[in-house]
Amino acid sequence: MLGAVACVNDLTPAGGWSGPVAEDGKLFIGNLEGNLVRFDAESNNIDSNWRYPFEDGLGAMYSNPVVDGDNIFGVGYTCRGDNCEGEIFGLRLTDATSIWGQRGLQLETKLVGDISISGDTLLVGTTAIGNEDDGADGYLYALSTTPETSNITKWRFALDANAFSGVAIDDSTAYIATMAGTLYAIDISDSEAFVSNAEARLKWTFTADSAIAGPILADNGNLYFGDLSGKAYKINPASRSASSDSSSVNTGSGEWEFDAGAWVWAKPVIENGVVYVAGLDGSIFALDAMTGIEKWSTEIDGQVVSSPVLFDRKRGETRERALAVPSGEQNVAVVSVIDGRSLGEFITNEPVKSTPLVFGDNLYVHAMNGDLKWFSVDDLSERGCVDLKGGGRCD
Amino acid sequence: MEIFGILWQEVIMRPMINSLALLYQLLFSNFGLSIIVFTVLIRLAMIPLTIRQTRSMKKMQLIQPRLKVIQEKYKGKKGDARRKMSSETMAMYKEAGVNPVGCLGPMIIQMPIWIGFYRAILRTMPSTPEGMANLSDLFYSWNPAISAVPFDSHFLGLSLVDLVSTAAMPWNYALPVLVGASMFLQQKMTTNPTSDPRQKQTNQMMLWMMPIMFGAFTWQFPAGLAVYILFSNIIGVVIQYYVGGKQPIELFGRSFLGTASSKAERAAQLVAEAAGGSSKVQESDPEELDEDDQSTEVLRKDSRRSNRNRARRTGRRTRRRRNKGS
Repeated sequence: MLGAVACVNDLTPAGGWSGPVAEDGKLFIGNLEGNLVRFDAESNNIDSNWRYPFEDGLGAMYSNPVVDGDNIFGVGYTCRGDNCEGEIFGLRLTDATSIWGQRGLQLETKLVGDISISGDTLLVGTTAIGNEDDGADGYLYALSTTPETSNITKWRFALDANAFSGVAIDDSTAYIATMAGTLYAIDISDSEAFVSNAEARLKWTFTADSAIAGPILADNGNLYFGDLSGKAYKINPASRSASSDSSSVNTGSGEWEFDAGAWVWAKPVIENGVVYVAGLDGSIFALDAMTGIEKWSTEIDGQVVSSPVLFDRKRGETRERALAVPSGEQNVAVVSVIDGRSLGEFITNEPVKSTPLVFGDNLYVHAMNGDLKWFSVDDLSERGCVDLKGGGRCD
Repeated sequence: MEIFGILWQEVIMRPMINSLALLYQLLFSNFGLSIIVFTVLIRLAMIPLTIRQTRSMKKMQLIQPRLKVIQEKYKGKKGDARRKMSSETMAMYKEAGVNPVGCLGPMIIQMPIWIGFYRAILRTMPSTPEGMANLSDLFYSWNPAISAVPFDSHFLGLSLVDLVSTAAMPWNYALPVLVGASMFLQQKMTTNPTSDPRQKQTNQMMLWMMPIMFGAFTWQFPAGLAVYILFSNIIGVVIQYYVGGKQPIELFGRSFLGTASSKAERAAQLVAEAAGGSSKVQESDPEELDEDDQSTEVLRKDSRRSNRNRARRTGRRTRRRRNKGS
């Protein structure tokens, strides 16, 4: 029993699965300690002077950072027992200094999902705020991205449960989902009508069969996401209002649901009228975006937690469109978008739970051992590897 | 080492997690009820072990006077005499059909269940994204409860996944106290009465130390585990009361529950103890010897019964020994 007491650490997140983003030949990635680091894709080195926080990391980063103009934004958090400390940070791309003074906005919460930026507003979902006894179980926070602003928080909207899904934005509407299975459509415009009444921002809700843990894809006026009952959904916001039936899809408006048979956590990918949905059990489906009818399906080993990535693979004189699917067991599987047949693997020899990045003719992968590896997208061979913690070459 | 990991996962963790999840679905999406019903089921499954433990305890009680005689016989002697004492003691245990460490069996079996349950609670109600992703691998494909994740961890104002120390008043103090008190009661009911002063001292120390220690540990346990330990102790006390022949429970000089006959029996025991039970053994009081003979007879019968059972199991016949005394 004494040994079991030591296992309380299970409550602490283990590093997260932040993927890289590219800007001006540089990649920005959250490492497993919760530091945002910069990698020079030309010299293939970690910039040891660019790092946030410069000393101890934030704990875990699950979402990819977002570049907006000259700044980059991200979130990280850690928990000791059930006391969580999260930070939403905004940094100057040039020197990694905070745009809001010494540090970002610190909240006693878990910050898991993707952030989104619309105009000068940054949107992020949270879980309950630790030091608010009578607070909601989750919030959508709207922050000002203006440097040196004295009031970072613009407004916040109370949610019915923890928000792990991240925020998707389409025009002036933000979409966020909760672990209670509720998808919210929230007006994010700076209307005076909302100043004293944040609840009035709610446009409509949709209730899925189960918790929504993964990100929402907003594409061409439609929303695509999955839930923990194993269903993938397409929702048409244009056909919805506050009076719509919030518990079922409206097939007459082009909405559909598809049974993937396993939790759907990874963000779907869409291209040329085909939606690619991955189940947590490693199953991958290509669905007709209009009807939700399955075109093909295949399976890889290991869990698929993060979004697959589409890329062109050169084979001889021809180029083949392929899907790179990160596997929670090991490697990144490559499947054809035509029929789902296997085209090989990027051999990482480590589990991958972050979304890979195709930049130039390389595919960059943040593996679960903390290494950043890059591969040729043509022959899938490894080209290099750095340790994101220390900055040196991998052993 | 990997085989132990697989066994742990498949024999302890997955059945526990799936049972908890299934009970959650059946019991109105209430994880607290799920933990309590699961605890009852585990304790019921362990009743045969509890019965064996109680029998073993009773037998130990019966051979105490004879054990004392052996100890007195070799008191202060060293070397070969000590070895002889050990072999005589072991021979006596064998004759009585008592395993001196037999009463540890249920404890040893309970330990992995407790640790497994602790892990199962944490893994069934994960608080990290990776914990949640890993949970899906632990569900059986037929278990419909997989769609109910994440489970509601609130029960009677407690968050079952959070540490007891962070729970609201009065739970943060009440749970450790209740766990300690229930453990004390259970310990009191299962402690072997002994005439050996050193053993008595050890028992007394264990009787107080274990509940105090566990009460303190509970502070740092997830509330769900504390609820499990509390109900496990309460059910243990009830089972022990019935299996142990409804013996009265003595607390702070007063006697609670018990039947009229068990109370009378206990009162007689106390009178005998007050009259100096241990010295009687030395003086070989004829009445005591008669009692000893009676207990020996009970033990012999038990021993013969267990030999017959063993023979039945192995398919061999045992030669009946004639009882010289009869």
